[in-house]
Amino acid sequence: MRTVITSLFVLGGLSLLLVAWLSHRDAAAQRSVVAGGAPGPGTDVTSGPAALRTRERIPRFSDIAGFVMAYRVGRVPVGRIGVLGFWWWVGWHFFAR
Amino acid sequence: MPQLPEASSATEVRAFDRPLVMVPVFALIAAVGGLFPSFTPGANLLVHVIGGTMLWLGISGRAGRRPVPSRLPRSAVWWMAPLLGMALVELWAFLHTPDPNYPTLSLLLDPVLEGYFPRAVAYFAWLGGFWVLVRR
Repeated sequence: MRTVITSLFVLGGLSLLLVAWLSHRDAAAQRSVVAGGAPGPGTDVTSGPAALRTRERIPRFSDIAGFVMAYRVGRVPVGRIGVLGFWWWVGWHFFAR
Repeated sequence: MPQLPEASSATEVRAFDRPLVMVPVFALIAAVGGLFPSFTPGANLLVHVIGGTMLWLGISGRAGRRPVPSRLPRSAVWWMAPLLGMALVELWAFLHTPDPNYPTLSLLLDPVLEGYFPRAVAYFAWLGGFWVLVRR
């Protein structure tokens, strides 16, 4: 069972790395398109990077974290406290506890 | 081309917020942090000083903030699938604690983080992740 669990964690970690790479590739492609300026008359508007023509771009993890962190209850930044607090706990759990 | 929804406005990004400044600072902290083994007062003190400072910077907004999307596209589910999967495996292993045949992620990583170099590298990654979150 130890081997199964270890393998599942490795698989999950590799999947996260793959999604991270895809999201950064999409972000870089979008930046290059934006830097190229708006298409002129007669330009094929679908001539962006091939990876982005057929699917919605994957947001970066920091976009998702930022979206969650923007959550507020009244004036209390609940999302920000929760995400930063979780990351603080991760550091304590792995490096100090 | 599909784009992320309109982003919220960001506050000014500070002058020190550049890799040339932050990378050496984090490398120095990581080099020191790697010296403290787990369960020592030094390790606890360093983690809590850094964590407290980052939390304060993040909540006060003193480090500046970058724009964030006002809503997420459906493709965000690509992130959720591996995260949810790993969380379920972690929960499954945790429910069998202290059976060594069901190791949690931290039990698997403990032997790796005993060495100075992997520990310092992990510290650096943790600090970098913290800084990314603080600026969001």
